[in-house]
Amino acid sequence: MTTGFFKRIAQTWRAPFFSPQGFINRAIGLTAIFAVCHLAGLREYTSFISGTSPTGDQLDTFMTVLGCAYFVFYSLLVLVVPVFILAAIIFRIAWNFPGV
Amino acid sequence: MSESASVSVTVPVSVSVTTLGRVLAGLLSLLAAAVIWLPSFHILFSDSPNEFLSAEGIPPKARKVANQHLSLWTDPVSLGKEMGKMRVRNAEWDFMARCYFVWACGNMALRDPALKPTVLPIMDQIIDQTISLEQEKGMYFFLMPYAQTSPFKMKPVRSQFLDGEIALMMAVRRVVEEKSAYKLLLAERVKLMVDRMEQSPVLSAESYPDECWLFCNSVALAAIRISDFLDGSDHGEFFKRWVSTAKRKLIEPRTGLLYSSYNLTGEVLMDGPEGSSIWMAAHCLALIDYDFAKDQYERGRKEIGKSLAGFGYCVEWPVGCSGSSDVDSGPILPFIDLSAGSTGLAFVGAATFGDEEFLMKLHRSLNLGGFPVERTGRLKFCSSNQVGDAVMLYSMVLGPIWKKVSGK
Repeated sequence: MTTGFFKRIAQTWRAPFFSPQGFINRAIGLTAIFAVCHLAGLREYTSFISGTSPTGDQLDTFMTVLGCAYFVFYSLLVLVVPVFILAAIIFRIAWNFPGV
Repeated sequence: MSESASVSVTVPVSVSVTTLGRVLAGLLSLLAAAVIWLPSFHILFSDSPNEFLSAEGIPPKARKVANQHLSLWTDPVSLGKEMGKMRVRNAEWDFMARCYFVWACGNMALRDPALKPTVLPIMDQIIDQTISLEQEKGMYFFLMPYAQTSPFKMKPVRSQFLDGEIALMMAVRRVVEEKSAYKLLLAERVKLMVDRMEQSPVLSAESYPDECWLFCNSVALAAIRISDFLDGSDHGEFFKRWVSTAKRKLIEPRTGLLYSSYNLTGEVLMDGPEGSSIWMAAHCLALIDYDFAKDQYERGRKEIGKSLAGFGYCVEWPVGCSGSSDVDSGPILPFIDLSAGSTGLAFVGAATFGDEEFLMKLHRSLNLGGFPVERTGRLKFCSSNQVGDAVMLYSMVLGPIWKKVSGK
């Protein structure tokens, strides 16, 4: 039963990109990566946006890269994840709509 | 043979048609979703105007930012850490964070007199400490390193950047409540500033060697105007000459906006109009010549202020006056040319001239891209720094000092 459950999860995860499940999977994946960045406290490092060193060490490029990563995944969370979710709903409705 | 050939042709065509249909349906779904989401998601980041704007009292958002600053200024270790982050990049920010916070405190004290016992000692602490640092370590402590690469032209060697902002700190403090120790210090600095400005054909003193900045000179004008209010002096004729000289010699012809920097004679116009200068200049000039200041704001709004999907932001340079990214502009966001410096100071301009629509859009952008963190009633913006947050605070509480001085 456990094997069947994981198999179903794996099958779901392998859904093609252009499918409602594929969109939902991408939305979940991006949200999960953002959650990891957020829980790791990378929000504090976004000070690079104002040109301020996140740590006080101007050569600390690693922290700046982490801040950039947070910025990128935050942007994806805000701009792309809702689009994937809405697209999945539209896709599902349109796919079952007669004539489509 | 013919049967198997028929199968081998039919199946791939059927699969490819299905796949193509799915891809097309997927693309159309994504497009439809984007058309729905992108123009409307600004709603998630909207504040009620009451959060950041109020004629009386302190708006809730401002109070939270103020709490963060007040707690930092009573915790030297955390303060040193925050200032250190800025100083490695730009020593000016350390100085400006102090000034904007003191100016904000002055306005808060007038908005809520119950705050006086809390903010006045902190204002005094910041002013005294800043003047001590200037005296002990010299003016270069708060200037960028290039200030020492060539000699200042004016004598005595001073920076209008420091004189103007320190004078404005003392002036604002005295508007809230008289402090005799600052009366003489302000009068001395005002005399120095006016004497130095009079030496220049464009009535501007240098902040860096042979560099006069609109930002610094307009802050100085505001400080002189407030000292007139406090001490009964009258520089009205000087202000008129400054404005008429600026209109004749310091206006960029296409935009009608003031240049940001120029040499001492005004013959070399170094930087064209910049967002990081014009918003604050318009705010300060509102005390000197309101109509001229408002015209500058409106021109800046047209040339530099932008809106996208319900969010407000600013570019650093108008079309045709482009420059290169520096500590004033902050990093420029690709594709839309958003400048953190220009956008941050636009809050001050929009608040000064009551541009609520733009202010609302700017606050949406702040909520989206400022990465706010609120803990125990204290609010800070992670993508900003101490000076940026102090500017935000100032924009939410400004008004009472200018109103008291101008009588309007």
